[in-house]
Amino acid sequence: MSLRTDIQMAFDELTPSTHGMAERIVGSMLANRSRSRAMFAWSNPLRGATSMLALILVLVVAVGVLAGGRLYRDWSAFNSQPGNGLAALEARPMHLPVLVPGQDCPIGPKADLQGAGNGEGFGEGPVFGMPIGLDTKSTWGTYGYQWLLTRRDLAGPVLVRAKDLVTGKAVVFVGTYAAGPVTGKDSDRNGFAVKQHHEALLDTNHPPEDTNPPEVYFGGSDRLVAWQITLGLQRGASGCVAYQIDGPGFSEVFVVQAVGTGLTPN
Amino acid sequence: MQRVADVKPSSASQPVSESTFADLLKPLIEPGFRLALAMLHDAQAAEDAVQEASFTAWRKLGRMHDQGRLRPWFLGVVANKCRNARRKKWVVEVSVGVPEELPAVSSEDRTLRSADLRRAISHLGHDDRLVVVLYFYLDMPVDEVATVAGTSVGATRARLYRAIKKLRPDVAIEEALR
Repeated sequence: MSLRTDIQMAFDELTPSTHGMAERIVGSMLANRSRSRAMFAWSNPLRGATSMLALILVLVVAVGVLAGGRLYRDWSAFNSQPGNGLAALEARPMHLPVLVPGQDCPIGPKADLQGAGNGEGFGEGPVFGMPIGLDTKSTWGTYGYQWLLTRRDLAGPVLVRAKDLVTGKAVVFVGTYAAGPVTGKDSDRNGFAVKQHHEALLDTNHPPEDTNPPEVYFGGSDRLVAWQITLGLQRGASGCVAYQIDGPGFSEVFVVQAVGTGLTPN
Repeated sequence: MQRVADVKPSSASQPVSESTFADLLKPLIEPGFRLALAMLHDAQAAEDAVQEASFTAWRKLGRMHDQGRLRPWFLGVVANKCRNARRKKWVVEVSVGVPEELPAVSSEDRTLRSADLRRAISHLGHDDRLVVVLYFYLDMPVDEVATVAGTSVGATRARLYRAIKKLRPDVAIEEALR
């Protein structure tokens, strides 16, 4: 028996009769809407007082923003001191390999991740990469995802930067882990506008909940935390991507080849 | 039982008026309830989640201009309600005791296996559980699952593979996807 059949059987056993439920819920919703309208009519005279309360709230928020701005400046000043946090990592120079014309993509170094994923991993640690999976094309280029695995005992911020080695163009990051200044925009990634960044940031103090621990998909290891990063390669990219990953006390470089639905040609 | 994949929207790209919204919503209540039940394992909490999702859908009616997207959009709202419901302490207290003592519909083995499977699914993270329920239980195609989950098709597929490996580590992905 297939997994699908097993799952459908398992939940169908649990499902009570839904006879009349749709009518009950929709009826309740309509009745509630009528009550809401009645409540609105009753509360109409209170609108003056409500407006005053809203004005007071706006003033409180404005004061909060001013105070918060001062705190932010103090934090930024602290963060920009040499050796502290993200600013220090961003200040580190890039030391990615350079391709000579005709040279193959220098994929590697290979990592021993004890069977992680399909067994293919890259990097010497404490951060490891899997091959990039491309799945979404736009007029700007191609988007995909990258699993990065970090050792569980790794602490502090981890800065991720990457380049396509053939075109020399920076890989962009979008979504949850994208960081740093906005470097570009794409108005139509799967129908949504996205802001692009040249950095991704992993906060190892707050690992992703749903891939923690990655005990099964990533090779039965309880030593690794898995981060799924969304990235984009600009039109014409080769997919030969070099990562430089900087964290407290380490800087590592590895090269991976993008796989998936193919790259958008020039 | 009707699978969600069988529920077709009436037509696409037309504004939805309030008067027709209830009619559009009715066929989505059952799949919404089945999704919520599979996510929460508690019939009352599931019905509450669908009820709340219906109110949310009603309030946001003005933003819905494409009936073709109503189904994944509504199921996405239900999924969010389920995520919130799981965060509430009382739901945890009430529903962690999944009703494993179910009436035996066939053999005892089958009932036990089903209970084990439900328990394993309930131990998945919210996002993994969501793609498993949508893909396997509600028979939705991967691209529509991705829309409900708010991620790309590739990321959804990767999440699905990972969840399958957790549920059936000894079964090949291709075999499990059938």
